[in-house]
Amino acid sequence: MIDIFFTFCLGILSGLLTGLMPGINILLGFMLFLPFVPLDPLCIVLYGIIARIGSQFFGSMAVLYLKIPGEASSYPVLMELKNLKGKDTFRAVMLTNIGSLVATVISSIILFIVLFYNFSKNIYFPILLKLSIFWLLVIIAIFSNRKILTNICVLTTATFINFYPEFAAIGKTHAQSIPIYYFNTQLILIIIFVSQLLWQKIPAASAQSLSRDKTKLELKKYIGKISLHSLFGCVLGLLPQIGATISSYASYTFERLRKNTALDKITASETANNSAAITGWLPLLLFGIPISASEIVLIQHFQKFNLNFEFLQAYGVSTIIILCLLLSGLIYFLIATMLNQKYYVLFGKLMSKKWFSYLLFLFSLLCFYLINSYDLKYLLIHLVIFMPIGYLLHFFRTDLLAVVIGLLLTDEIYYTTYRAIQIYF
Amino acid sequence: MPKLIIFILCLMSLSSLLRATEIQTYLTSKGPAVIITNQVAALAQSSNIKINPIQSVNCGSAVQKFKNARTPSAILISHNQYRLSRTSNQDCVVDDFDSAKILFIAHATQEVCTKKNNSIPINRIATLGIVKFSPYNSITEEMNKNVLDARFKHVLFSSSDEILQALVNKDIDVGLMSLSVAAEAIKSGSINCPYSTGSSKFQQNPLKEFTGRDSFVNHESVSFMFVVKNLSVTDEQKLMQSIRSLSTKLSLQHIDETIMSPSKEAVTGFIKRSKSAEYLD
Repeated sequence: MIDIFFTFCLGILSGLLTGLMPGINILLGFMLFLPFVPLDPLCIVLYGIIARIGSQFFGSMAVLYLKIPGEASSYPVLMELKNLKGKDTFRAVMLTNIGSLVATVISSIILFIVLFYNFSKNIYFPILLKLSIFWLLVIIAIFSNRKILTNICVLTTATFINFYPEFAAIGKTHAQSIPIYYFNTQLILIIIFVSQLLWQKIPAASAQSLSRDKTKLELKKYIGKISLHSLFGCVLGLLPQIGATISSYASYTFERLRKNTALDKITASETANNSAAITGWLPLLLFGIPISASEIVLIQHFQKFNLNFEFLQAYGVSTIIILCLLLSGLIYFLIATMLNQKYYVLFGKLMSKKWFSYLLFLFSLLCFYLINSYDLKYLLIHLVIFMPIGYLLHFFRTDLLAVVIGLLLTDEIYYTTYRAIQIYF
Repeated sequence: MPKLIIFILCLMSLSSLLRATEIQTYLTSKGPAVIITNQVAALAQSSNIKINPIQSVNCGSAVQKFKNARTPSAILISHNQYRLSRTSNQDCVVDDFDSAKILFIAHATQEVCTKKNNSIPINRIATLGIVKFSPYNSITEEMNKNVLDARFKHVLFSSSDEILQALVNKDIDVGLMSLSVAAEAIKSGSINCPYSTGSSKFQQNPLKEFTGRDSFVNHESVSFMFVVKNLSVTDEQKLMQSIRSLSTKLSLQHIDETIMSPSKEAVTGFIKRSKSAEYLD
């Protein structure tokens, strides 16, 4: 029980940090506290879902209060900010909070039903479907940001690092001097992701004064819309990697086509991404298939520590999950609603300071060093090799999905493809 | 807000203090290796020693980490270590037991299984799921000489768990997997295992009835050795004391013939078997 409580707090912290800080994306926020999470599959899954709910919850807060999108799915809000009048901004804050809470409740209930009735029991997940999802992720990584050549180079390099011991072993048969070195892919990811904080130029937060006028919330008018977009998000959340972002844009476009107000569009987009953030976990929980970068990290963590998803069959687990998710939704809602604007402004000022980024970078590395008991030499070798690579990735504005897939998923893709060839040819 | 964060951090620090000391345990494979380690971990809890299993992506990495470890560490090595060293061109061998102690040796028998209500196909080439760490070419060759005149082509998997999953998903026709992994699926009725290399707990027939002759595959099982190092004498005694019922517990998980604190002869036997498997393909 103490482990679940500890995990719950970590998830909330990670969600807050990820949502509010533009330098910390969902994956980095997830990885930052992952080593602290007890090695229990339920705790790790809870941590992942709670952190992701928080990132979506506070992503919109960062935009509305500071005009900085905390995560990609908050860009529709940024686009609509100019259309909001003074008093409307606070209504937008309240409506997105309520929308996020309703979406969390609806998608948590869906998740609970699917897990409780064990829907996966009678569903087969053949190798070709698994392979299709993997290759879809590779395609998304290659075409991300339309930098095909850069993404291919990054993917190839990351794959080479992932397979380095095997390549070196082959090379050793020809040249004995080639060293076999075992890189730690999780440490590499942390160095590359955390070093982004050093290079990233965070725009100064432009805090605006909000009128906290609650009288014109007109909740009845919005509740139907909020429910509809929650369901939208639940379905679109099943799309690999971009589920939350796509659902956010889809709901935004839907409201835009209906020529609704900026408030409608903001509420719709921020509701949909929250439900997508929860249902996006279904393929992983039911079939063990990761469909996003943080799920790839989670599955690698599971494999490293020999964990599996059988815990979901245990009595009461689905109830614990839904209770934790609902409670986290409520806590995020209360924090987001009750916190005074001055805290957001303070936070905005803090995160635009360079020393804060340096401090966060050192803190993260120190945590990983102490918790994983790395050898100092091993850590330094990784730092020397992968910090410059982190800079290059920042310089070329590369989507880090290619790095994650190359480092963590290519071996699974290789073996699954090889297996499919053995079966069908 | 700052007070809330400080409060959460304090609570987290307090709960961290309550955790037990850890032994990093390196594994080079899944399936029965995981079952064995989890069982050791469960029993060791009573002595306030936490077994922390770490799955390595390849045997070389696990062996290197174990050999370089300066903190309490353990490794579960299989009898395929010499063969894996040869095929992967990496150092997968642990045979220096001066600074390390062998706690036990365990054996996992193998089952030939099909999906429930399916039999081994004889009118076409069937797909046979085999763990990639085993001498799969030799096994397939031997399995192809059988009384039913069935023909197989192998499909390689990382573990028995993956073979079971593939069997249930109808990706493969037949799977050669560890009984410890297959047992639950046999009980639940999702698969049936007509032949075994050493068990008859589920009315399996000896594999010899399928191959119809003497062959190494009839007795194919995976042997494991659990080795620890850097443990204080007290911790070592505490651990041995806490896992004294391991043999019975593993037997319930269908991993039989566990030898606790193996004699020199038993260890020599394990090494001899490892070396004899080195040149199997």
